[in-house]
Amino acid sequence: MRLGDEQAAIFEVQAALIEDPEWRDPIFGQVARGVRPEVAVAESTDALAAEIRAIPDEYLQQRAIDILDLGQRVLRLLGPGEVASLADLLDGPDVIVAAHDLTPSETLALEPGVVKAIVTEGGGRTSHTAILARQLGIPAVVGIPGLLATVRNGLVVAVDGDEGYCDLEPTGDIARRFSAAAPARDRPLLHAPVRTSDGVEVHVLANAATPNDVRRAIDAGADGIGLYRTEFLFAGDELPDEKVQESIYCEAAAAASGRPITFRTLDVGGDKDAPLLELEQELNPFLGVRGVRFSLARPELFSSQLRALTRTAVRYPNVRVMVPMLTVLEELDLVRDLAPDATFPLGAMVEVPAAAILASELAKTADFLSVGTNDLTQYVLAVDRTNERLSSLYDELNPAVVRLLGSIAAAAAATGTEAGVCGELAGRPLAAPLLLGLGYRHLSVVPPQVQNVKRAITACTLASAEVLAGQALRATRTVHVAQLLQPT
Amino acid sequence: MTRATRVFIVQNPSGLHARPAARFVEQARRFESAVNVGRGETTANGKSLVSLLKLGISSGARLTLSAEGADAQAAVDALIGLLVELDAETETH
Repeated sequence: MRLGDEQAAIFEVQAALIEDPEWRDPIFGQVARGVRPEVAVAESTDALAAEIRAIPDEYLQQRAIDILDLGQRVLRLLGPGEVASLADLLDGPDVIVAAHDLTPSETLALEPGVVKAIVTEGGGRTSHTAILARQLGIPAVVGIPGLLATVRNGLVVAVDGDEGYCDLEPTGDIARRFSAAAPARDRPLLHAPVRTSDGVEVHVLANAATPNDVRRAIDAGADGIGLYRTEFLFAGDELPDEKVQESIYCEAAAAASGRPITFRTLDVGGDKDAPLLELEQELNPFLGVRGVRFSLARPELFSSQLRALTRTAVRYPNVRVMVPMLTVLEELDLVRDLAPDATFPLGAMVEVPAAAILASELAKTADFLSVGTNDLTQYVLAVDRTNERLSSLYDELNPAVVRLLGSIAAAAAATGTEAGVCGELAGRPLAAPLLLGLGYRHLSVVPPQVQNVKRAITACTLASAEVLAGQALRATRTVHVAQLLQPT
Repeated sequence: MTRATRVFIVQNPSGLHARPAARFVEQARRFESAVNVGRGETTANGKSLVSLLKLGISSGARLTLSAEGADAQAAVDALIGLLVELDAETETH
């Protein structure tokens, strides 16, 4: 009763606020003067909330939250979800997309040839926008405060995705530097696995989501595909049946031209929606029915994916399959039960702390382990990686994460099981010696980083990498780990 | 055009909080007349929740309720009635 009452109170207050002249009139006024509605709503809301916070009454100060909440709800309705298609907006040869944030499907709808860069006000380095943009090879800078208040149609913007640099209306040297910037550095592409200077072989694979990605990755010199995301097949307007899935998996496997390709089974839930799969609304989706939990809850859907992969593997022996978000060993048993005819190696993703802690046992059951550092980091640190206010706390170099990465690699080595890393961390060239020193020999990275990571590996020795890893394992603060990785 | 004014002293120990204020605003908006709530030197728009909240109406506050327009008297009567009713309610928060 009490909860219902309080919620009713909140909505009574918001209902009164939405027609409040003090909130509404400045918004209408600004929009009439040509200010973008999102900006007008955000500004009017912030200004009012600030005034309310200044009231010398603690209870009334709290009402600022109601105003902010209302503003956010209106902003969501004004958000890009209401735009029919981003593709419609893209006229003209060079487009930079500026947005508060882009959903994964919006990002994937962008055509890399047309969209030169993405800049967003929200999101962190590991938001899906950033990850997918990197995947597409579109430079992206995310988390720019005040972006939408400044940017407007027709503005010339300089974006350097490598450095996280963005300049609105660049002038002088900066403008010249950006117009002249050569897209590719003319160094020979390193194909085939590389070796450290003391001779240890390391495989640098790429992450992909479509057969085209696979082709691009192999062209970019990847030693295979360490993570093929299958969920994007399910995010379109139509669910793919078994035949359609099989033909796409075969196309991807063929594009890998004999190099290993690891398909990750359907990984929806969390922040990844697939409208056609009708995911349940959950209070805390990151701790909810996502990854293999969702797949096991839909055995028919999951079996059909596993059958399509089984048939693909018969034709393409380079196919491997891994399962996301494993928490308990039984989940892997259940997957095997659903794929009785499977001939492909079946791997386990280590993303949940429970799986990381039981890595020794998991390594005995699974054919290989692949550490998803993004989710592992967010679960170990209890930080939502999409929460901008916590972005300083989210760091894959946190010593707790580093130690866990070390113990997973050691557990895998003890049973002779291959362990790889397929999160963002693997794609940071400066982190390659650390991962190498911890014991990883398979790194799966975004295609544009393949060559950079390979060069970082050829530039170091295993001996020095192991010394570095030893120091990192003894570090107690993120900043110390980060300092260890800096080039000397 | 008529004008009506009445004074009301808030007795509720919690003052006039967001929810009762929202109900006040909702009621005030039903009238054509402009509704103002004065406290000391400051005057708030009675049809704006934000404006009312900014008055910071605590217990003991002396409010001057005024309305101006065709239905001014009806507005003031109804709103005073509501204030009395709201003042008697116990806030739960």
